[in-house]
Amino acid sequence: MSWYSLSPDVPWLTLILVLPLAGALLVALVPSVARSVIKQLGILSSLFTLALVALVVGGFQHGIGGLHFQFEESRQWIPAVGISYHLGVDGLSIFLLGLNALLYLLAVLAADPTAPRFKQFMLLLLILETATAGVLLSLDLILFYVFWEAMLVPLYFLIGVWGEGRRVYAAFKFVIYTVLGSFAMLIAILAVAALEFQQTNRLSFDWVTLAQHPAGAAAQSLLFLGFALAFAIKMPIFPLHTWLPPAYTSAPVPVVIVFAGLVSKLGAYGFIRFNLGLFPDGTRQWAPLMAVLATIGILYGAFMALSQTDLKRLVAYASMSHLGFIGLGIFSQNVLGIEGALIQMINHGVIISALFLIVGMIERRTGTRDRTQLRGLARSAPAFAALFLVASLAALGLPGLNGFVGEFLIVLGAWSRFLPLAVAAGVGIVLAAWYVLRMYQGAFQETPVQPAQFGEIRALDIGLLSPLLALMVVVGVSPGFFPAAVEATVKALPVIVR
Amino acid sequence: MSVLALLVLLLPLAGFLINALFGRALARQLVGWVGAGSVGLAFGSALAVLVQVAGGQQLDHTYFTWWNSAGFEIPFNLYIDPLSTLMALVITGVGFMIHVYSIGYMAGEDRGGFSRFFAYMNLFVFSMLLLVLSGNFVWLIVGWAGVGLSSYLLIGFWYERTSAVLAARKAFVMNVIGDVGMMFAAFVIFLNLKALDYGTVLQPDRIHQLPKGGTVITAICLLLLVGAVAKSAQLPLHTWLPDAMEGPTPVSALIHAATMVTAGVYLVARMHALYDWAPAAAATVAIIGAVTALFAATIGTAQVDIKRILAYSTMSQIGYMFLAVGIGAYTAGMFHFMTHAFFKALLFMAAGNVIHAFHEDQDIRHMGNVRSGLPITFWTFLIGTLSISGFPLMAGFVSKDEIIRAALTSTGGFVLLGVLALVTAGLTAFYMFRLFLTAFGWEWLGHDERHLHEAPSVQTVPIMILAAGAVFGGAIPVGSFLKPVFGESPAIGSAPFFGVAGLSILVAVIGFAVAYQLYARRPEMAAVVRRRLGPVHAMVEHKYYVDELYDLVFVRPGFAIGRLLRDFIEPRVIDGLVDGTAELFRVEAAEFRSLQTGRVRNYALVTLVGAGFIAGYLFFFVRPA
Repeated sequence: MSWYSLSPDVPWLTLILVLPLAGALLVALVPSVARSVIKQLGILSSLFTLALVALVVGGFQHGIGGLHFQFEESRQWIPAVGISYHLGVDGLSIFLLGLNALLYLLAVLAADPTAPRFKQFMLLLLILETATAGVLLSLDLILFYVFWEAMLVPLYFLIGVWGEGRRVYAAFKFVIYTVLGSFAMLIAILAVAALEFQQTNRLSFDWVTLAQHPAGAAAQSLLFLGFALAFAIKMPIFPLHTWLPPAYTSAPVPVVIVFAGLVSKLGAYGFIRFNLGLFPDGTRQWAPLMAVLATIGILYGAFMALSQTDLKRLVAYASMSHLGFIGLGIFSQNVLGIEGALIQMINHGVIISALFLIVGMIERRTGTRDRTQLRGLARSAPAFAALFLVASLAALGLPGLNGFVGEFLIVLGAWSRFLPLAVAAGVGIVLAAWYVLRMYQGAFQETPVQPAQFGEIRALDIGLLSPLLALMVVVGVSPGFFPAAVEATVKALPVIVR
Repeated sequence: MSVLALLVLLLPLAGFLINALFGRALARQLVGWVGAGSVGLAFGSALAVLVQVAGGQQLDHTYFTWWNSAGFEIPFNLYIDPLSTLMALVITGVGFMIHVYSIGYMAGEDRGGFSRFFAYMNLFVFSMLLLVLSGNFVWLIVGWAGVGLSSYLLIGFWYERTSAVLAARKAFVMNVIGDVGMMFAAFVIFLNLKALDYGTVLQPDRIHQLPKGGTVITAICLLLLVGAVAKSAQLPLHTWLPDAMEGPTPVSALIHAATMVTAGVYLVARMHALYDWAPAAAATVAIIGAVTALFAATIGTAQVDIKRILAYSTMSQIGYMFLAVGIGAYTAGMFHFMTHAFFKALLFMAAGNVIHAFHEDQDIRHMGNVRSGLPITFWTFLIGTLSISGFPLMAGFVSKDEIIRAALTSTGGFVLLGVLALVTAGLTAFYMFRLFLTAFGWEWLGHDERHLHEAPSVQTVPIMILAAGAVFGGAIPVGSFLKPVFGESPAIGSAPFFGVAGLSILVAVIGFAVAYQLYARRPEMAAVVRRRLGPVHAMVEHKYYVDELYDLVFVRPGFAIGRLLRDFIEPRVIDGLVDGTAELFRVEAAEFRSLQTGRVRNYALVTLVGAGFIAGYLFFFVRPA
């Protein structure tokens, strides 16, 4: 079922990819001094994209899964080697697509038009939107790889040019890590295609084709690792995370919203789509290790967050801890764990971008984000404090808000497969309460240091935060729409079927 | 009835939303009446529910589905039976009194603080109602965590005080430990009983498919107990409750005495079908209860802060309730929950009047001569003291006696727990009269008499109403009302009734007599006794050093691990490995250094060219067959 059905003749997904690019093109044509025009163009194109995505999400049919995608588009690209332009959405990608569109709109709105070289900034941000959407929509491995690599260049410049602190170091570290993972993935992609050729005598990089002809167990084991390296770095999975704190800390607020809110989830998405979807035997073999690493990440991130004084770094490590939960859910290899991971990807994107936005607002007003320098902001900004508190509570997984939904399902999924890891994840939940409240109280409670000039939150900032806060409440209270849409896809995953 | 039940729940939620969103803009009086009125109306709705439940109706109504996939089907449903009705009545009834009292007590707050306070209080009542009315474990956990949150907000209400902030966080984190225990319990239930709604799970038929006293059922009950212990401030997760007295006094009355801390008792009573099937777990409940009752009572004898003494007495009284539900005397446990809500809310609110009169000084040694300045407060506090100490035929006496009687007449080792409960009863009379005689005594010790003023009637009328409950509450037929839930309670002959009643009166009189000797007639004796007891007294005064122990075992190591990871593991070990690898490549690749321009676009170009070569190779040399 769905609310309505959209015409199959319109290339909806291509339009979603093209709109931000069109925006970028228009931005390129505008003289760089027309800063407000540039910002308005950015807002318009991301707003239209969001509207289009909303239309597609609403028209998404429930109960369709397995090898059946919706809004599918398939055109030959390099037919000689079986590379095609193949797009489609299913339960794994549909809500992430929505998150993608929402977060770019917020990022564009949060962008500061007085920043130097603002035109190039907007240009890169819009290009990045196409790239990340493409990663979610591609059903051809080469096409996927192209979009995957295409994310790298805008991100490098967005951090390296507009970042702060040791921005070049941060950007460089990120790129080196990522390129390493990408090469491993590229080799694995080529190997997958070669194995397909062996089996069927036809070259194909098409996900649907490949999913029907799984490789032998030994080969899957290696292929799993090739893809896993790329995705584990992107997520990141412990111990491949050390690029993350400098990158998140250096990135300007609009960039960190999409970086932490979205790009990290693409790693998790990749795991489900490719590792679980194409290599069920390899998954079964490596899942215990991956689950252990994910759980270490939960605790490691939590303890690191506990010991940070810089709020941005604190949120960065909190993000790492949360991604550990997502990894644990994925590798528990059952419906509830994976559904929990899927909804937690959305939740995490919503929560972490709200937290980074808030930290940015605090820094803009006080000039610092050091927990030890801040205190008592609630007195002069009670509404701000209330909004921050809601986001903090969602982050620590308060039942009734969205973070709880995913954590509950993930740990339930893990409980039946890796009991000790589920218990350890429970410790992570307690630690989250500890470090999140330290963060909130550090900034907003106790007696103010100086009679603060800290003003109340601005209307624009409320506008930025309110869709995120609304999602925290709505998803927490009534998440029933989510399994209805994704269950068919998750149930059809080969790791679950067999 | 499904609409009525929902109304009970949603009225306080509406109050919360109004005061949270618009409270700053509303007139003070309106804020107060929205806050108190919403709870009062909820009480009215609960009474209407009561009429139907008393007529034999029950309800398990699903409003919407929260999650449904792979056999994991979670409804949002309300479960109305005599047990949840009783809980809802006490929560909204006593809660209403406390809300009205708060209008007076919090009058000194500025407008923002005033509306914030009522918003939090309503949020608490809503969460607590959700906890007791929910018909499945997921929403139970939501309510469970919601009361933890409102408790956090209210303890930290005066957020500019560091001590309040720390107390609030401590309460929250300890409550989260309980929440996680509940979550784990829900997992084991779901994986073994294949559902999470009460209508399915609590069916004896389904439970009895598991082996009696087996690992699974015992694990479920013990994990639930973690949650119960954390919320009800029982050993070993009790240390947050005394610190929680940092919150305003009505908070202590509502949350930390009358309602929230009894959630653990409700939980065990609600899950009695499970505990009946797990005798070892039930015995654990009873032991924790009896030991906590005694433990807290001893600490209560050595404190000087009026609210802390009442906090320890709360811990102790809840210990009684745990003992009751642990030995299967569910009705007695719920009965004591109700009478305790009356007299403990009364004691806290009366204490609040005294604290106000003494300009926020909470040290009982600085108080005195309350009778002439605050006569209503004085007499009501005396009634509360008599009720909790077990003065014959008062509500506290009747319900406590049922518990002691059930323990003493039960089979097995529970008799020993009954003896502990008797000793605790004596200690209770002692520490309560120590408090009363020191703080309220005729003797004048400090301040200027003329400053003492009775509180306004908005604060005294609710106390008087509760005083009536503390005296006559024992006559409410809770036992027969709850019979549909717990079945017939085992018949107890009249001989043990008078025997046990005689015993508990005896110990109460002894406790009173000792207190009277030490604190009214010969105060110099108290100092002598204290000196004689030396280290024992110090240990009790310092709450058996449990806080210090937890600090040493959990808090410090937690931060130490964080620092170790931050300062050594991350920069030296993990990044050291990364940088080492990079260095290796740098040295090895010295000959290719000219290629290392450090410009990413060059690298990107190389990547692209490489990919092009590969694609070209595939294109020209690998022909599909």
